[in-house]
Amino acid sequence: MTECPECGRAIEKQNLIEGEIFPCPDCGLELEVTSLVPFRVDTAPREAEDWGE
Amino acid sequence: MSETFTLGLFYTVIRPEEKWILEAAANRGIPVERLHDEAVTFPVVRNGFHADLVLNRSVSHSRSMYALRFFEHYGVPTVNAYDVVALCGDKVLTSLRLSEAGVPTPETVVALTPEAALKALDEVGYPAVLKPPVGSWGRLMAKVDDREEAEQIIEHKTALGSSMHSIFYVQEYVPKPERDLRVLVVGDEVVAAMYRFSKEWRTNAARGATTEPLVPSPELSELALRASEAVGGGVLAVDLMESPEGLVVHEVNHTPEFKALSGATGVDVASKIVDYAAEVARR
Repeated sequence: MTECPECGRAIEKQNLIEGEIFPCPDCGLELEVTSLVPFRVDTAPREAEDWGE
Repeated sequence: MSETFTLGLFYTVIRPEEKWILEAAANRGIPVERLHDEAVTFPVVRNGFHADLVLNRSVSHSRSMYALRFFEHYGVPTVNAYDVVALCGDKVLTSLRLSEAGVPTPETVVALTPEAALKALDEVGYPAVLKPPVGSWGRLMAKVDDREEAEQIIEHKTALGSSMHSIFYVQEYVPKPERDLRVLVVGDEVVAAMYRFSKEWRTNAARGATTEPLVPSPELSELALRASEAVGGGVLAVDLMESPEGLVVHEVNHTPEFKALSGATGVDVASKIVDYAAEVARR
């Protein structure tokens, strides 16, 4: 268990994997799983100018 | 199905697409070496790197370009190949190649200075669309309705100062229905297609366009396959518009997102991609 760095909402590991991005269920901020053990999340990286498909 | 190769996944973040790719590989017993584009280092002499084939899922064009060139240098095949990404990542080069292959595209004029950009817009006629040569998700594209607006937009682009905004890719505004078409090609197969609807002139799913499945006509499939082949083939999303003169290809995306496409069509695109990667690795 960890918490959203923006709103403090508790975030459970569930079936998330390292590197996965997902929205915080409360504030909607896009988060990234930066570590599974220990379980940590941080704000997802911001879109850069050359990002795309 | 069991495979004997290790799949390298070069990625920036794990979106649903990358998660599905990892699951598809796991279901096939294919070991995956995860290569995070923020962490990998590239010695000129290959060292400490196991993958037999690298699937590029990095969202960064510049990181992809260097990384794919390194993998090529190491003798490791990639999906897509460096040359394909270099071409598709640059709208100018894509337009030239599609034109050389006889694939219909919107009328396009490129200008290398702000002054020439105004001339290019006059040549294409208003309204027109101004795009950065490198970029995606409809970012910093502008629909230009008249000369006054053109002067303002070009001034702003020039003020941004980056080299990306000092080359001007000017395209005719295609009076299309409120939708465009996306066709996903994997190897020599059209695996899925959808309409993307938007009341806005940009119909990128990243901009919130809604989608509907599409059963591609023989003409659409043939055109998408020709566009894919023209740029070198691989896993490619061909975007087309319905112009009054018929279908035109306006983009070929080299690292396609497919969450919306899988959702609209029910096609397991991730498995198609992993199977194709396995096939390329066997060659």
